[in-house]
Amino acid sequence: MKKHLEQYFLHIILVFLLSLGVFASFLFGQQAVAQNKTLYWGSTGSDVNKVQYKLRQWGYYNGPVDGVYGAKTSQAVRSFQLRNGLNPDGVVGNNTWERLGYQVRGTAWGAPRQQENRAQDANGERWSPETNARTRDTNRTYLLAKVIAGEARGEPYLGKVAVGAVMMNRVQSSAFPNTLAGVIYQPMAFESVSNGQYARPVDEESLKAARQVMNGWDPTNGALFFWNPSKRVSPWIWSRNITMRIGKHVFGI
Amino acid sequence: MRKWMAAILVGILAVAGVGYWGYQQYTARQRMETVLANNYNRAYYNTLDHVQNLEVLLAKSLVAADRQQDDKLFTEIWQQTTAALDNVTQLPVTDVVIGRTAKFLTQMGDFTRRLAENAASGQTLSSEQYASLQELYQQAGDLNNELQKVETQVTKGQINFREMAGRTRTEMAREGRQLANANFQTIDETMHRYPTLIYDGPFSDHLENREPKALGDREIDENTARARALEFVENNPGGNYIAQVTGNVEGNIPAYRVEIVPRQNGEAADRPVVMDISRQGGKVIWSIHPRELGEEKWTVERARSKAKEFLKQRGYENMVSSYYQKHDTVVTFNFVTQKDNVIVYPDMVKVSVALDNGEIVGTDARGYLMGHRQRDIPKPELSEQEARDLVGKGLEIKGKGRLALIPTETYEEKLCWEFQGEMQDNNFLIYINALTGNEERILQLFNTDNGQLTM
Repeated sequence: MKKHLEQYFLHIILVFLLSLGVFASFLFGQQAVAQNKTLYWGSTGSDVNKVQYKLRQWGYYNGPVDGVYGAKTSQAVRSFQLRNGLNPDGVVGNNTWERLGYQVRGTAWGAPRQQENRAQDANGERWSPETNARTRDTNRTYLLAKVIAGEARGEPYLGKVAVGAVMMNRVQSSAFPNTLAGVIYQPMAFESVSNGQYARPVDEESLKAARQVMNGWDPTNGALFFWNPSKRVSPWIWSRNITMRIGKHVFGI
Repeated sequence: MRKWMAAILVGILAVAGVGYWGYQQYTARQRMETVLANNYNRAYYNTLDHVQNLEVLLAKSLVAADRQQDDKLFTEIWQQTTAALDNVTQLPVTDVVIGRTAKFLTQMGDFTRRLAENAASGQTLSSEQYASLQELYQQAGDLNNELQKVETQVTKGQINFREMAGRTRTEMAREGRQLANANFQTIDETMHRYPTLIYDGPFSDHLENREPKALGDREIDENTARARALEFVENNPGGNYIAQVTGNVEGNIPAYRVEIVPRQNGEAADRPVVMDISRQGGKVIWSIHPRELGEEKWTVERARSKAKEFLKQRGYENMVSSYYQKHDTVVTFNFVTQKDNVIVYPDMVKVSVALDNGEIVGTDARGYLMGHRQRDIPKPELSEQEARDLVGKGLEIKGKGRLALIPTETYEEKLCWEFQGEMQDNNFLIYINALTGNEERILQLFNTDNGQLTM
C-alpha cells in the first residue's frame, strides 16, 4: 500500500514537471524559431499560415489564411519579393523569411555578446555646428534604438527609421515633452514601453535606423503619431492628417 | 490509515505554502502600486504648485515697471513652465488629453525666455508683448481653476491615478469621457481657447508651418518623379533600374515616394533605393539605400571627394564639407554652401557613403530645400582682427577666423566670424557677430573615433 502511494505521488510529480517543461518550451520556443522551412507552391502547414498572415496584413494577399500555398499565395509572395528587391521566384526561402520579419539565423534577441559590443560603442558625443536641435549622443541613440526595436519589430528598415523620426519630431513639438526620455517615457505614449517589451536587446537594424534618425533623416515628413490600423485603435486617431504609410504603420501629424 | 494522514498533511502543507506565497505576492503588489500612485500624486501636486506660481508671477510681470525686475520675473516664469511641463507629462493620461496644456506651457516658457533675454539687453516690453502676457495670465488662471477642481476629487479619492494608469491607451481614447481622465479632458478643452501665440522663439506657431524656399514652382506628375529619381540614383555600370511610385507623402513638403529596384538579367539584384521627390519642383528630398555592407575598402578622404562630385553632378555647386560622422562602414558628410567666401550653414545637404564600394547610400537635402535662396549677404562691419579681439581671454585661438552665416533658433540668419579655439584641452567654436560684435554662440567640439570636425 505504501509503495503504491509513493508511486502515485511520483507520478503526479512527474506529470507536473513534464507539463512545466512543455509550458516552458512553449514560452521560449516561440522566440527561438531558428529555422523556417522553405515554402513553395503546394506546401501546407502553420508556416504557410504565418506567411499568409503577414502578406495579408501588409496588403499583398487577400485570400484566406488557410495554410495552403496555392496560386494566390504564390502571386502574393512574388509581388512581395519584387517590392523588397528579392528574386521574385515565389519561393519563401531564408531571405524572404527575413524580409517578412521572421528571424532566420538563431535568436536575434537574447544574444548577450552583441549587447556588450554596443555598450562599448556608447561613449563619446557628437556635435554639429549647423543645428543644436538634434544634438548627438550615443546613449540617446541606444535608447531610441530600443524603442524602435520594440515598436517596429518586423517592419522594413524604412519603417524603423520612420518610427524613430516620430519620436524626434515629438521632442521638437511644443505639445510633447522636450527631451527624448520625456517623450519615450510619457505614460501611454508607446505600447512597447508600457509593456516592457522595449527592454529586450536591440537588433543591428534598429540601431542603424536610430543613427539615421539622429543624423536627421525623416521619412515621415514631420509626423507626430503612428498607429497600426489592423489593431484596435481609437477612432480619434483617424482625425489626424495622414502623411504616409510604411509597412503596417500609418503616420500622421 | 497512517498513509492517508500523511497525504492529508502534505495537502495541508501545500495549501499553506501556496497561501503564504500568494499573500507575499499580494503585499508586494500593494507596495508597488502605492509607490506608483505616490509618484503620480507627486507629479500632479507639483503641476498644481507650478501652475499656481505661474499665475502669480504673470500677474506680477504685468505690474512690474523695472527692467531688472522684468528680467528676474521672466526667468522665473520660464523655470516654472519647464517644471510644470515636466510634471504634467508624467501623469497617466494620454498625450491626446494633455497635448494642448503641454503646448501652452512650452510656448509660455519659450516666450518668457525671449522676454528675459530682451530685458537683459535693455529692451522694454512692446505693447503686443504686453497684450500677449495679459492673455497668458488669463489662460494660466483658467488652467489653475481647472486643476483645482481636479484636486478636490483627488483628495477625496474619486480620482485614482493608479487606476488610470492601468487603462490602455486605446481604452482611454475610446471611452474618454466616462473615465476619470474626463477631468483632464475638460482642462484641455479650456486650453482650446488659448490663442495662437506668435513671437520670436523656436516653438512659436509660425515656425511649425515653415514653407520650403528652394523647390521651384512647377508641379510634377508621377512620370516626371520617376524620371527625376532615375536621374538622381547612382548609375552603376551595367546597372538597369526600374523606378516605381509606391506612395504619396503629405506634410510640409508633399512628395511622391519612389522606389528604385536595381535589376540584373531581368531580376531584382538588390534591395530597392527609396526616395521622396517633392511634388512641387521635383527635387529629391532624401534617399536611403538600406543594404548589407561589406568589408571597408575606401578611405574617408576618397569617400568625401566622391560625395562632393556626386552633389556637383546633381546641381549642388559650391559645396564644402563641414564635418562628418562614421559608423561601422558608413560615413555621413555634412555639406554646406559657400558663397563669396562665406560659409552658409543653413544650406545643408547630408550625404552618406558606404566604405565597401563607395556607393552613395543616403542623402538628405531637407535643410537645403527649406532654407536655400538668393541671399544678400551683408558686408562685415568688423574685420577679422577686430572680432578676434572680442573673443574671451581664456581661449587660445587656433588658425584664422572665417566668415559664416549661422541660423538662429528661429531660422533667422546672422553673419559671424567663426573662430576655433582651445581651453584646457577642450575645443570650442566661437561665433562673433560680424555686424554688431555680439558673441552669438559658443559651441564645444568633441573629437571622437566616430567623427570629428574637419575644417
